[in-house]
Amino acid sequence: MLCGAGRDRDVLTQQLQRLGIVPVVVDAMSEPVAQEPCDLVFIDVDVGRHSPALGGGVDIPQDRPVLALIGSDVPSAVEWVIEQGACGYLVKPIRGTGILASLVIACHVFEERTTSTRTISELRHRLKARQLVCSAAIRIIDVFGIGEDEAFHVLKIGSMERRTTVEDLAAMIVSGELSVQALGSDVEARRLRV
Amino acid sequence: MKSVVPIGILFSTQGPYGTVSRAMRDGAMLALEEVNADDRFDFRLEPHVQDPEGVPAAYLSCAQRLLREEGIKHVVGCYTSSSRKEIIPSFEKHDALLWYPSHYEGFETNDNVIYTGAAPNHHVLPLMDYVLRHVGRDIYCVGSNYVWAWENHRIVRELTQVSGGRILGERYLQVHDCDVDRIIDEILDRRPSFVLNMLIGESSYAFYRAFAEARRSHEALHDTVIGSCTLCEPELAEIGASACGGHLSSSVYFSTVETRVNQAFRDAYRRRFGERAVPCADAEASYNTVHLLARALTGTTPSEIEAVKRSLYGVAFAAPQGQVSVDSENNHSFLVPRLGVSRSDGTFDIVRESAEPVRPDPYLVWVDGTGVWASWNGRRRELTNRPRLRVIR
Repeated sequence: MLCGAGRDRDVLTQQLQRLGIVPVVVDAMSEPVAQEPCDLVFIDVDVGRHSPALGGGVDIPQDRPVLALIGSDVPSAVEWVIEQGACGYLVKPIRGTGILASLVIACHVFEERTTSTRTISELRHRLKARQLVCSAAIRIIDVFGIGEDEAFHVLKIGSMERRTTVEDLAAMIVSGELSVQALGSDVEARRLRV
Repeated sequence: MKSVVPIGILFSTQGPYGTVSRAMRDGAMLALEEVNADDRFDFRLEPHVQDPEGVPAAYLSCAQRLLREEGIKHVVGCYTSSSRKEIIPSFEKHDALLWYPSHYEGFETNDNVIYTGAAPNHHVLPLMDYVLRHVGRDIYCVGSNYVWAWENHRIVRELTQVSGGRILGERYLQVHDCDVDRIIDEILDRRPSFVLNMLIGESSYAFYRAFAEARRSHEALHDTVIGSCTLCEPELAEIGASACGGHLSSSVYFSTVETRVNQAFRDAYRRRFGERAVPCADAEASYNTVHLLARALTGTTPSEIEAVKRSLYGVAFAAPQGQVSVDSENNHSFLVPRLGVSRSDGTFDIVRESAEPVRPDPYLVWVDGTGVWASWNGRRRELTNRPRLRVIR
């Protein structure tokens, strides 16, 4: 909890304790939030926004859900909250009501965001490798004289047998690290099934 | 016999913004005395004064004393947004009204607050509209490290970018901090045509003094203009004659407004607070607020705040700045935007003036930020002759 001493911090602390959560208060002026071992971060916007040049800047962790405590609707404050990647917010003055809901939603948003980010990253990688996979498939077609669907299937079986991804196997073939002939047994297995 | 209506007066007479806050209390007290001396009102306003002395946490205890212990339903008070936000929950809890006379950054409408000071479409928009057309587009922003400056700087960044200008720097000082040398050095280095000063109180006075000093020894700063949405008459006196002249200020009131009502207000203010006392926008806002409150209370039960609000929405007060009324849609006020250039004698030359009161737009949804002065069609005194903006030695 990056939050100045006062009523808001007291209410939040009390409610978190009721929920079985151990609150750790961080002094923005002395220690970066990121170094605290915690599962969830609350940041009071009016404390967090203080200019880093004045020693009040905070190092916002990206690997944990962040909830902002907002005291004003001014767009500059909202912009700041968005820039910090907050997954939820509470409106000051803080009341006990709504803290649990905000907390659960923030954790859910964080999980979903983390999963989406990972999926998008994987898809980007596969998209980038698409040309390599096609090139590898064309070589397999040329060498073994099989059809397009069979070539992709061979790549799939080959990657499974070598415990790697289709994209990495394709890259090995295109770069010459693995000769196309080495996939002969996979082609045979495919032919026998056909 | 007149009934008595207790009114809370909540301003700091000490602390970093004590000069302005004292003027606010003075304006409120003058109006209160006028109301009490006026036979048209069948009640007497009884002031219950609390002074948080500029300590943020003290606002809450002062407000609670007024609302909980004294059962007061109407409090005129607060200068900073942080103090207002601190006490609003108490007003909600006790079903009371905070009459807030300060200009502020907007983006709030609370059913328990009447906003009688300028909204952003009354202060920063007209200032920047003028600056970007007539002063320059290389802008440097300096302000006190809290929401007032943060939000106004955001608005200025957007307006400047839209007009093709550049923000050459954006720096903040803590409210108490008067160490402005680093900022002056940076301004000297970056040479902006306009410096937006969103510092408040002592920091701001120190900045004007240091800037004047730097301008005396650096020819390059002679054409640099400083503008503010807070600079007012008692602050010019604090800054001192050698540094206070030639600065732009956007305000709905200057003591030099040429109206009969303002002449009477100026005279009354001097009679009450001394021959050298000069009213400012913040004093006028508090003065208007108490007069609006008294008119809203007429014929209503003071403790029924919804009835008082309904009554208020029908009130138009002939204020020193012009006609002032409250918009029922957002509890903010119709006010008359003006631009002034400060003089070394501690007053302002008014160089722009809206022809009529402008509807408050606390969320900046009705104005696109361009051409406000053209559409307002008010008084225009050309200010293209730059020497008028120079320090008057």
